[in-house]
Amino acid sequence: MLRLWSVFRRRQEKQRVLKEAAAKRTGTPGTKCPKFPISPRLKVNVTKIREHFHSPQNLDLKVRHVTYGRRKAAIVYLEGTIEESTIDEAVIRPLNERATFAAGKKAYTEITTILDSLHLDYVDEMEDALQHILDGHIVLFIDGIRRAFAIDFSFFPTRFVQEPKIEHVLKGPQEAFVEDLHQNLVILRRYLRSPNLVHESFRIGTETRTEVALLYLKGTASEEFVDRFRRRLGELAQADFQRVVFIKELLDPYPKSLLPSFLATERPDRAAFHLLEGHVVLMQENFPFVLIAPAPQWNLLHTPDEHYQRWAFGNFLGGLRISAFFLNLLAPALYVAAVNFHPETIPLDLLVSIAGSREYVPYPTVVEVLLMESSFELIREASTRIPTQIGPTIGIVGALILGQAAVQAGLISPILVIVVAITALASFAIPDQSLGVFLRIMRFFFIFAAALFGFLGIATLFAVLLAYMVSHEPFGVGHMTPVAPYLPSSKDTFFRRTFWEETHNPETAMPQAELRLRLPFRRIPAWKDLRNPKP
Amino acid sequence: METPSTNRRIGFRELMTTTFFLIAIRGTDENTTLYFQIGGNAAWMVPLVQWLTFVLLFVPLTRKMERHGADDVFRLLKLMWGPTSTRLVAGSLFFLLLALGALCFRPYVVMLSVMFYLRTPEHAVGLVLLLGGMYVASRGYKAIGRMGNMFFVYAMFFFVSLVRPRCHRPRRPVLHLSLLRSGNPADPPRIPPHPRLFL
Repeated sequence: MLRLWSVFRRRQEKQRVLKEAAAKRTGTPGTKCPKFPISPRLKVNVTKIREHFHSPQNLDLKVRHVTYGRRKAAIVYLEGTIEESTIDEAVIRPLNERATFAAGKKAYTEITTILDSLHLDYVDEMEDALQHILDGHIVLFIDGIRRAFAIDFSFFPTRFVQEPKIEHVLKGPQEAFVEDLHQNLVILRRYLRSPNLVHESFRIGTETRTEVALLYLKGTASEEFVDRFRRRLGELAQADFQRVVFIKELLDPYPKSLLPSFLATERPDRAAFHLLEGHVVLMQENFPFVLIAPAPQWNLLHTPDEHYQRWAFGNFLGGLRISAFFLNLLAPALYVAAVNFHPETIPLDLLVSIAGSREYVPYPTVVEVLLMESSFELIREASTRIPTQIGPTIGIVGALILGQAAVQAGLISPILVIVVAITALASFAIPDQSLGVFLRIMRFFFIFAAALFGFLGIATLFAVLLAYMVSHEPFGVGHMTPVAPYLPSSKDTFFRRTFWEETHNPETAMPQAELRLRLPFRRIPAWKDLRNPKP
Repeated sequence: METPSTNRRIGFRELMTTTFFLIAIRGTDENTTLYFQIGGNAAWMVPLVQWLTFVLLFVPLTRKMERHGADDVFRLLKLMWGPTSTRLVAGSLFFLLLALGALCFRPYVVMLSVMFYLRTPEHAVGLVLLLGGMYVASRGYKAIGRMGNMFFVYAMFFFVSLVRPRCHRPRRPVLHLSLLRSGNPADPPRIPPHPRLFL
């Protein structure tokens, strides 16, 4: 019995040491740390707060001493994270004006009365007080009271809503998400003024405590699908992460796959439309992109302006993008295959022209193509990294001058410049950046396959890629749905229909609500019907 | 998670498409010659019997797998017959399929080598086809069915497009479909269409 007790004690001791080590490592007491109650003595509380924030070395922690009746009080906050100008008016002056001091329960009532109009929160434990301070709240300690009062005055600097930088549209809303999560939520609420839009919050990362918002439309989104994300985010919140760079990788079931599992967008209208179709939206603090899941292939190829443009224009642009997808993936590989293995597929005049242009090129075709493609990727990467003002210049220098010089030097043939230019244009037409990178990488594999086995290599690799794509199922949803496997959809997979014909939600996201359009009439009334309405 | 989009079932579309391609592929490879040698004028019935046999065996097999909660045939065998029998069956199947593959691949390899890859070793061409086929097979019957379903309409379109122009020539149209031609082995072999036909 005694032995059992000693084993139990040793285990308890080990757990305590581990918890202390975790607290020391993370700096702030997390869920694993023992909780300290707020002391009735002001001095003790202030000392503990100072210890936690390494004050006085840490200059950001501010402690302002005030009085509450005859009692001493202190307001603690982090400099720069709150609106300091409003503290005097909203908190300090009403407290100083209070001549008498109420003890016990009356004190809470009185404080509530004084600070009624503010976002007041009662804090009983020191670690909660620390979290409030880190969140940009002020914490008020009053001598003789075993409770602190946290008031939300958070004012983290953020940029204003601006135009989208990646997902431009000609017609349609010209605003994008920003780094402030709450501002993003408000923008999204403006698009979806529905009580069914539910927002659940999670904090991930012991040091960064990054807030992640899970958004879905209750009654439309699949409960099972939402629950999957809720459980996963809950697990991540419990895990001992030091930091979170981007939650995409933490949530991705296939993080090493080339195919994207999420659709990342900076457009609030796009996020809102996906919510309406039963998708789930994830927002991360300090990140101006939101994640949409599930994200099948066709959603990655669509753009919002397909629906902002007229039916015919939207479909024309959609068709262009689909052809851009294949051009981007296959154009250089087809050139290599046709020139190396299948010259009979090229018309004779063109074949002679190609042969003439390649006369002075000392390399095989595949080396030529790889050289040009690598150069283009370098130009693209360089133009992304350099300042905006010089970016277009680099593009022109790279594309025109370098290409022309390479042709004149006999390094590449002129026809290849055309092939690479068409590929580059096609790559810019791909709306999703992740899909674009996938295509850029796969393009090199196709070039190698074409160099080895011509059209046979391309066809085999395409079959392999397709087999992978149709069996890739992040979050239990096929990447190629609703085409493979076939599912009922809104019939806008390749080309969209008119608004009146898209009556059903696509089943890709397993929505609870099947219908998206319920009309009291059969179809849109024409002007003739309006003039002569039928009884 | 049971989801409507990926319910891990082989649906009607997948089954129909794969069986269609099963017949179509059998009509283009070395099997056709075998059918005519064995079946004579009734050679056209062989693929249909093949299809019927496949469906009649496959559908109860999937039901059995569902009942036992097995994801693949070998797991089902392991559950029913034990590991030793499963190994034996798997080995036999492997050799049978390898023999079938060698038989079926050969005409494609020869055709590709003669038409396009004159200097490439036939083994290399065959290996590429084999590796590609192996990967697709490793993704499962479901993936094969889905791929087939995606290309079914286009395959039919090109099939009809390829057959129709040839039918305008002053020949018997029956000759242009390998499955429908006469069983006389003395008939001259078909001339493969020129690649320009595809452009």
